[in-house]
Amino acid sequence: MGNLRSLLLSKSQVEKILEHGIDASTSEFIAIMTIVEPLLILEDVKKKGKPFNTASFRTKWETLMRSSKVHVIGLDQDTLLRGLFDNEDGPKEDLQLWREVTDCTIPPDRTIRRIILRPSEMNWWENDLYQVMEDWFD
Amino acid sequence: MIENMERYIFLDAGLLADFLDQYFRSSKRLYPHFEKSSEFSDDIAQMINRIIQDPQFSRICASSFAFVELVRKWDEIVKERFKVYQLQAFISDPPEWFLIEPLDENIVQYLCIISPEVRMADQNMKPLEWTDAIHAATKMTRENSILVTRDERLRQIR
Repeated sequence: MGNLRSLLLSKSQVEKILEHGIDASTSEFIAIMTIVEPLLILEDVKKKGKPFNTASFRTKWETLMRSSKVHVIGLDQDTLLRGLFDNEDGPKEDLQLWREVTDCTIPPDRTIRRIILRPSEMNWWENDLYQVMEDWFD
Repeated sequence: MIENMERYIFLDAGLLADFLDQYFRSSKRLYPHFEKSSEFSDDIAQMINRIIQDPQFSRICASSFAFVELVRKWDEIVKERFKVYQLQAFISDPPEWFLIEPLDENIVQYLCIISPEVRMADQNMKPLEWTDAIHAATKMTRENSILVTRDERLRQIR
């Protein structure tokens, strides 16, 4: 991905992009979002009917995806392996679930974001995006 | 080859825990035999067994998100029936007849067609959260598929 820094898009930023198109300033970055962002926006669209209706959301979403200007980071088998476990260097009986994802008092969207963005040498984006995401909730 | 039946059986988080419980208790990990239980009807157990015996064109599946739900509610759902290292080993190297389906941008188109409210058998409407709808939407990504769940709302979604 060269020397461009990554820009983690929040739900409201993705909403703005869907409404008005991608801002030219984001071209200085690799714009990324987690899969949670469109799912939460769609939930609002379906339950509150805003900022647009479902058909309009779908059209705008498909247009954004075709533009290839934003990367969506999803949850898959590899992400689960990197994000769910802790203390992997010890005996197998000592393997634990990563404490940050077992707290069911936090909403599931934040758990998914934590798993996806958990710092790892395997990530192609900067690991400080994890803290960027956590700061959204402070 | 499996014919005239669903080729993909999707499990939600609750059923995934029950499935893994039977799987880890089996002495034959490559070809475990699933039994009718309080969780699995005889029909479902037989469908799972047919897939395991002939997985060339069919799979047992769960969304990646089902594993997240399992971990978030570990004590409540898993109830010490299996260990963390067993779960890791399964995710790391699932049997050939099991698919861990990604939660990615492809799911959005299917979520768009799932109503936020579901009409139940008694005609009452019940709300459906995005976290529940993910399982129905993931099931829609495959033709000839069925979602096995105890959630009556999800059972109403075709």
